[in-house]
Amino acid sequence: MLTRDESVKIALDSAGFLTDSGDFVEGLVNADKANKDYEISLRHHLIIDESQKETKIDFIYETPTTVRGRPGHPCIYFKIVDDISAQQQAKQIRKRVWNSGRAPVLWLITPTQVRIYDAFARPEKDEDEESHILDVLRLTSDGLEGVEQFRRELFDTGKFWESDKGRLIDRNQRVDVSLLDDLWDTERILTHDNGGIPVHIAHTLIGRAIFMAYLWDRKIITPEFLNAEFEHSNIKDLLTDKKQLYKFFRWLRSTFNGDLFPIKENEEDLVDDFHLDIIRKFFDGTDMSSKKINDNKISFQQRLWPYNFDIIPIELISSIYEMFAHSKDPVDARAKSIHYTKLHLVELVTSLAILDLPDDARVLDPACGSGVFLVDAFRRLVWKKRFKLGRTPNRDEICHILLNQIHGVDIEQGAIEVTAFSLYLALLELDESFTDPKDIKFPKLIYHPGCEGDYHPVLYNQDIANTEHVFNQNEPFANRKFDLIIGNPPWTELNKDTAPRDPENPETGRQWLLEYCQKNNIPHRKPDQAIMGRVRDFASANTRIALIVSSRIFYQLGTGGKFWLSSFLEENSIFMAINLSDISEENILFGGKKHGGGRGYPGMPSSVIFYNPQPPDNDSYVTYICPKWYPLIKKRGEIVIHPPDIQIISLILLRDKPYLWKIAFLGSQRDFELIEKLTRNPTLKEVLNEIGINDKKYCRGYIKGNMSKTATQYIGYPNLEAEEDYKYSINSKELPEFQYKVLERPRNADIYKAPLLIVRRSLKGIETRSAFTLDDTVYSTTYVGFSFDGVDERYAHRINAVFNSKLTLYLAFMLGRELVWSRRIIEDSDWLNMPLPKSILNLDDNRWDEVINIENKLCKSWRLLSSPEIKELEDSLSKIICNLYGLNEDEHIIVDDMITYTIDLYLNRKKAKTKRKGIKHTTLNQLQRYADKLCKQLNSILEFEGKKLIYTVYDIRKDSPLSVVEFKQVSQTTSNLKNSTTKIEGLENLLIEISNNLQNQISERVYVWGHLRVYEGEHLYIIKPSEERFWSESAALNDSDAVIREHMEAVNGTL
Amino acid sequence: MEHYEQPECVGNPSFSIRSAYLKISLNLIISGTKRLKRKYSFSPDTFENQITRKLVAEMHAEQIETVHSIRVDLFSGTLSDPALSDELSEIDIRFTWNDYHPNSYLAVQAKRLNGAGATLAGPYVKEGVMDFIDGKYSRGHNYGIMLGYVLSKPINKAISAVKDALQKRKSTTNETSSFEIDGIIEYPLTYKSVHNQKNDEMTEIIMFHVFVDLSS
Repeated sequence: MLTRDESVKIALDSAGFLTDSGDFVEGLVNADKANKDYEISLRHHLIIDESQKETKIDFIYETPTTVRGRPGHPCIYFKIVDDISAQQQAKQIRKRVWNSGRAPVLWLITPTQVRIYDAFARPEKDEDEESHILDVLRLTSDGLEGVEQFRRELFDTGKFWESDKGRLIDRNQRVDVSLLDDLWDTERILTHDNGGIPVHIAHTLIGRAIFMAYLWDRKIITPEFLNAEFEHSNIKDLLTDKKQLYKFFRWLRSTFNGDLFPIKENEEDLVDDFHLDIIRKFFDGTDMSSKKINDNKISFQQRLWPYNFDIIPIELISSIYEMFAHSKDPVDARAKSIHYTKLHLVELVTSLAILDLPDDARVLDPACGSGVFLVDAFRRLVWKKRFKLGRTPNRDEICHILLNQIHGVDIEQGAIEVTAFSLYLALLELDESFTDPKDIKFPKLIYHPGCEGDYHPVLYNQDIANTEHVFNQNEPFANRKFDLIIGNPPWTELNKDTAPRDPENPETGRQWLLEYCQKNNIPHRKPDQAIMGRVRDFASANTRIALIVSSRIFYQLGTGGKFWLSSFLEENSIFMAINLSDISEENILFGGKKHGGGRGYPGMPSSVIFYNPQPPDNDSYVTYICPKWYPLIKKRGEIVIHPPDIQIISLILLRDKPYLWKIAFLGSQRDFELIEKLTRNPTLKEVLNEIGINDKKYCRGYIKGNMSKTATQYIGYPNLEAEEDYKYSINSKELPEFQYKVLERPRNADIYKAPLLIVRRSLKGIETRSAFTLDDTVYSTTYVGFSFDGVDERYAHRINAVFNSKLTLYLAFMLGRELVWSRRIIEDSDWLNMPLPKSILNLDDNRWDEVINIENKLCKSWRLLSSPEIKELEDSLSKIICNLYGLNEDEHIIVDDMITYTIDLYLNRKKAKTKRKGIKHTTLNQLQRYADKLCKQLNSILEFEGKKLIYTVYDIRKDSPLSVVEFKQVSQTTSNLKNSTTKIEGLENLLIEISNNLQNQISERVYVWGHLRVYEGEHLYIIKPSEERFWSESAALNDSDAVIREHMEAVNGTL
Repeated sequence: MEHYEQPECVGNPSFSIRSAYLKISLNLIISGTKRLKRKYSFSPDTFENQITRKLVAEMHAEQIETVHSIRVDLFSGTLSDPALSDELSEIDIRFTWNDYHPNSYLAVQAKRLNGAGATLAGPYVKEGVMDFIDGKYSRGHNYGIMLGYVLSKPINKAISAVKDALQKRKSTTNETSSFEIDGIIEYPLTYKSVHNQKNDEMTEIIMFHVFVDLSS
């Protein structure tokens, strides 16, 4: 039998976790090293706690290499166990690993086998060692049999998740999802079913009970202590005895002091044994959703392992708990804020925001909710202190950080109480000397009106927009001494009826935030945008502000139709923006039940912005990161960023050209240049104005709505509604007759008068739709119509041809304010802003003859022609139209590739992989086209030095994660070298190795998937993932631009 | 807070792109001027901005007809002088390779010159060369281009006048290497002078002076 050391070495080596020289690969650390690393220890210190010897994890593997020295995503926990004890120990280890909620995979290494578990699967009460096992691999001196399915690179590249084994892992069983469901069901049973208690009592009861369970799991309260003081030897028994339980609660409050959930008036009268039994069942590991009612008795079908509250991340507890605590009324809660910010989003924001701040930084969350950002910041500051001091900070030092550096404000009393609770839990976690309950006194954190004694409150139950409250005069608010302002403020539009009032006067108090919105012209009175401005009052020029806000900030118009963000940027310098809109629908940012409203909810497009409250200067840049959707994103639950998703852009440029936020979200600098060129043409609105069509003659169609206005004047007209599908022309005689007698907005008759051009606001497949009709036609709000009554209808046909072309689809995506980010709609304002070729106004310009010729053909026979025939005609039409806009060859490529790869992937992401061209494996031909294009671009410059590039395309296997093309600079005159294709044995393995090191991490679950340009003498190697979108001709244009930039800016950043 | 540093570039970029870019830019000016002369005639009173607009259009046309492709703009914006924020200056032509970085460009400043009468060599230096030296534009750059539209013959006299004007203002222009003919491209009326830019880092800037005969 292998020794312990031998078995570990062989197992790790076989799976690719050791280098050729036997060292750990980057990303693999043992528990000792993990404990000494700031970032790793922040995440994993509980699971590598020496005091839990039996279950302590021995090695952690996180995907390698880091940006700015930080570790990667935790993929695998390793534990060495003996065969004999494996069964019982395995269950205990599984339970703790599941509760920690970090690693999806657990390896138990024994001398004879490696047992690989699905660590996200919730442990069941009656499970055995085979439960949730992914595989058992036999370990011998020759290696690990069957390890091919679990090799390191499969985790690094994400391919593991596509495998049969990877697909078995269900993220919905993770501790955060389970805890959310169980708390949700517990609250529902406590409040809704027989003898329901008020929701605020249910919340405090659950909160106190969680605190009790935490103390129990941390062994701060022991059986002996409980027995001596409260007549029961464990907390489950205590939950059967209301009298002793409330005695215990009172003891908690008096002992711990602080601001722990107070016992509410009438609480003891209202809570009975039934409620306590439900709480007990929750803590006992009952699956609360398995409730059955027979003869008015509640029973539960499924038993699971109880939670371990000492190891569940505190941020997770508080974040999930926020959903309940944020409202006193469960109905209101469901309508208001039914979500929580997922931990990796919190960690993304705090890790980036706090990274280079000193350990004495002061932090404010202006709408702190449950305090999840404050808890994370608190932990990071304590750990920073620890590394600075070279020892664990003592209790005074930790309390000093809590009482001087952590500040929160929230309008909900419940939220502030949960924040205090969460910070106390964090305090217990961070100060390991807390072991004796008699030794613990929490500091008071919450401000109470009238108690201005000698304590310094750090949490205020108040509206951050209240300019008259005492917090404005207290430090660090008064002197703008915050170093970091962070959080996820609410997003829901405020109105007079529902906007929150001053919590110190909830009936008639002022609506501070609403008033702030009104005074400062915040568009649609959105609170997140108001708070973005209000926090400036507590910030100095160097204060860093990091907020999760709605992505609407990138397209919303403010006063006078100016982009709101442009105005904001006159006074503030955004230095980083992470636009998460493309992945918002995947529920990896926010968790919770599917209800709308509140702070971001699952599916709502969100962004993280980092800024300083000072005007930008000419040299200000913003790092704009727009991670994109990819297949299996839900399964992996990770944000992956490719270099094309990161652009560094002049802030002044973004301020002055607000549509650049959208262009950079989708495309490259070439797209920006092209849009600059295209938008020099007149817009549709300008053209209409020029030909005599005023704004009375175009509008969105009728709205049915509340049916409050008569519409009988249109009865009998042809009626075009959403389900109809027309392109190029509408035969209005085929349409059903309009029959509605009343509508909410019937619209003016002028807009329905023929000749009419009618465009669809939504996309049809991957096309824009426009159609012409010679008959008066009524249309619904799905369409926007333009009446050419009294105007030469040739203009309408020209516009019709343009609007059905690929270029209009491109323009709609690039310039449409909401399309892609929020809704799949091309709004009427987008249509009116669509640039048209200047020559459209010149009816004598014969370049349009062929356009009209094809458009007429398509008007007559679009429904009759075969798909290839239509394609041929439309391709010709698009080509001519692009020429009318003056597009050159490269610009044609930019448009075509944007549609083929980016727009197609966006619109077809739910379709089968084979249909999504962008992520198909690249072919040799495509690599050659790419290389040809890149050489053509660079050779046109290099020839002035008598040089040229030649390329070698490497023929690689289809399963290689990366492809590579080599370029070499040679003399134009003396070199005989030619472009070539070659196949090198073993190159794929090398590329796999490289791919392992190309994935850099920004924070947990957020990666930069590296693309590489390696310069070596006169050689350049371009290495990128083997997906078509990265090897297109437009990618070649962008890469040649990057190569030029790298050469031109090699010295001092400028030529 | 530091910006994210894109890690995808490894090693030292060592193709001949930098020097070739300078040459393609200078050649494009020359070929654009040739096209310009074929189409238009100018008098000594013609404003330089009128000439420049036409020249840029011809440079664009030249690029469409050839495989050469670099970005050339009429610079429509204004740059504020970091030292004198209320003073604005304009570059005439800008070759650029990075749309998102406003300081990534090769600047061309055009000035009128005459071989007869008032040569305008003084304004060429004071309002042209000095804008590079003061860092009003091309701040921190190593190269800049002065383009002299010679609107009356003899052209040699105009060039001599520039040489004299530069010599006279040697200390003001922080000249480190004097005005001499240069063979960077095959165009005989190309000259070079080297100066220290007056910014914090005292960048050395190489000025190429290209003189084109636009006299009728």
